[in-house]
Amino acid sequence: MNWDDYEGLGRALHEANPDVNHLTVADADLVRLVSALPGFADARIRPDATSLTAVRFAWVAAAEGDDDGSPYDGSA
Amino acid sequence: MTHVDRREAGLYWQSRMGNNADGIGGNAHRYDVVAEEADGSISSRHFLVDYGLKLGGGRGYSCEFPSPEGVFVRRGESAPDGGGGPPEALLLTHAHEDHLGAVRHAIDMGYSCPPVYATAFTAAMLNNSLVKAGIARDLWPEIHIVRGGDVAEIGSAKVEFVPMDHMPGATALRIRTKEASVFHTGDYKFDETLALGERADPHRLRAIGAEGVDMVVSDSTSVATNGAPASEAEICRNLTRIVGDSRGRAVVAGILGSQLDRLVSLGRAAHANGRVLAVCGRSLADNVAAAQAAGLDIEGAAGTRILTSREARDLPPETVLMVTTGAFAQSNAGLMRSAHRQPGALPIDENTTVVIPQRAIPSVKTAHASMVAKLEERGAKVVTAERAPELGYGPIHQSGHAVERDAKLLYTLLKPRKIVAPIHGDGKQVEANGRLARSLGIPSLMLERNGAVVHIGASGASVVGVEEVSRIGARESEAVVKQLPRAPRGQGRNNRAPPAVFVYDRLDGSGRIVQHANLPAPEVSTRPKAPDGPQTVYAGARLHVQTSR
Ligand SMILES: [Zn+2]
Repeated sequence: MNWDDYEGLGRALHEANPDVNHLTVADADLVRLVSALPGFADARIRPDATSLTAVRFAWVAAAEGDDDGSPYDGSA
Repeated sequence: MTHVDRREAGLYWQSRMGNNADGIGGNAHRYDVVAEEADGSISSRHFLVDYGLKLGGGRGYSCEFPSPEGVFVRRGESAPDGGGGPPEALLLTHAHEDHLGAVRHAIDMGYSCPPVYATAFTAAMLNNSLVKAGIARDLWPEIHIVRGGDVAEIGSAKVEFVPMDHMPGATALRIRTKEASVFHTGDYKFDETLALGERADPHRLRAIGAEGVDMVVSDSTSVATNGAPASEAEICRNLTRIVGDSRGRAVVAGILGSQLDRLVSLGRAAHANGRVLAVCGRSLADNVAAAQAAGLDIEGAAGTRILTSREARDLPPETVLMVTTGAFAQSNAGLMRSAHRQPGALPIDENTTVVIPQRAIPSVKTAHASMVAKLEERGAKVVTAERAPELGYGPIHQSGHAVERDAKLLYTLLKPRKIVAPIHGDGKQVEANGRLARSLGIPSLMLERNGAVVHIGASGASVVGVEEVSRIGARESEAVVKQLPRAPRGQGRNNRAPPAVFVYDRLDGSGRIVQHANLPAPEVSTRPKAPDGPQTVYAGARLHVQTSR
């Protein structure tokens, strides 16, 4: 896996770190946790902010599931 | 299709969605920057402001949005269908779905999105929207992060990002050329007690007004409301009393996922009453994660850690304030799932106080009332935003949009010389905004439909023509959905369904179908993924941004 495979990384992070708070994990810790995943090939590449944020959201998705969309957000 | 020439020096503004004849929703604007060069030739560049969704059109679509055809560049091409230059940039005012939700659909339809300029929180939520849609990473637009005070140069125009109060990262745009100056408000209000992100600065707005503003393009949503709005600080005090009166009971709050300022108020209310704050549910979690990604200190603002529902699971319920979604009774939101005792939902019983610090909008009132009744059937005490004043707690909700007082303040600070153009409203809301401007002696331009092209130049502001803006209606493809191993909704955590696959109908400007599910097939960008995803060949021009730092 590399930094662009945000969905795979999100799932792997969820499985490997069930006790880490995926909501407020710091960027530096997120990089460290991704780099420690088995099969991660980009450990020596610093991710750009966009790639790192995508992985963060994919972890949230893996941990929280899909329930509770808020389709009306924006009109309040 | 009609085309209006834009060849006079100055700025052209076109509302492509936001002045709908069929009701509020969706926001998309085009600005053209036209300059006369030293050799007498005309140069022209253009950019887009917001690209959002209109929900609930009543035609069976998940959403509608202005068509990318003729505006965005199809992947593999160098110019939009029908010619003309590509947009230089897409500037986003804030992270609500009705301002950025269409980006993922345009990419899904096979278009490249121009480089995006947004504040950090907005950029993070765009990122979230692309992740949720399963858009392959190589199809994403370039995303550039700006801060309040930054200035982007687009052709001969300078565009300043001006912080406004609405949600974290909300910004107005001050667009200036030699001949014209426009202030595009985005969604806004004035509340200096909001905790997250940069605050609107009346001194800066007055200075902008003193330097000259010709036209204000302004949010109309709540302008018809008069009286003093409740500040977030007042709401926080009232929530603190509600939580205090619930000693020994579980407290569950239902808000909208994007109401992070309300989450902060709930955190402060929890902390003041010796409780911890926990959040539960995807859209709320997404917004908290976006705040973290954007560097907003949400835990510092709330004065308490934010626990995941897993972390809070084993704590005594009377020591927790659990925040979930469901303020609008969305079918798969936290409160709704609890009301219907779905597997994995938060338990709610006679020892629970439910707080809903968000008023229901008209379209959800029936569902909201039946959800509240169901929660009460479970024995819960339910304090809604509608009931809180009569229960003696005072207001626990305030609209995120400018009320009359706010709009009056804005126009007084900016002193528009030529015109106010109300946007983001239905006919009545637009009319109220225009009436307010006229009461201050400022002419108003009330557009009852999208597509009008307005020129602002040395000679004044005027409508120079109208172009039909066709729409796209998006609905989930049932044929594709049926083939995918989609788990049923409401099965608790880890209910991971693949991103929806959409089909797109072309609609005319008033929402009538002109081409049914027959648009050119997009190169597949949502799951199931093509093995070798197409490359983004259009990267657009990188803007020069002067930072405020
Ligand atoms: Zn908004």
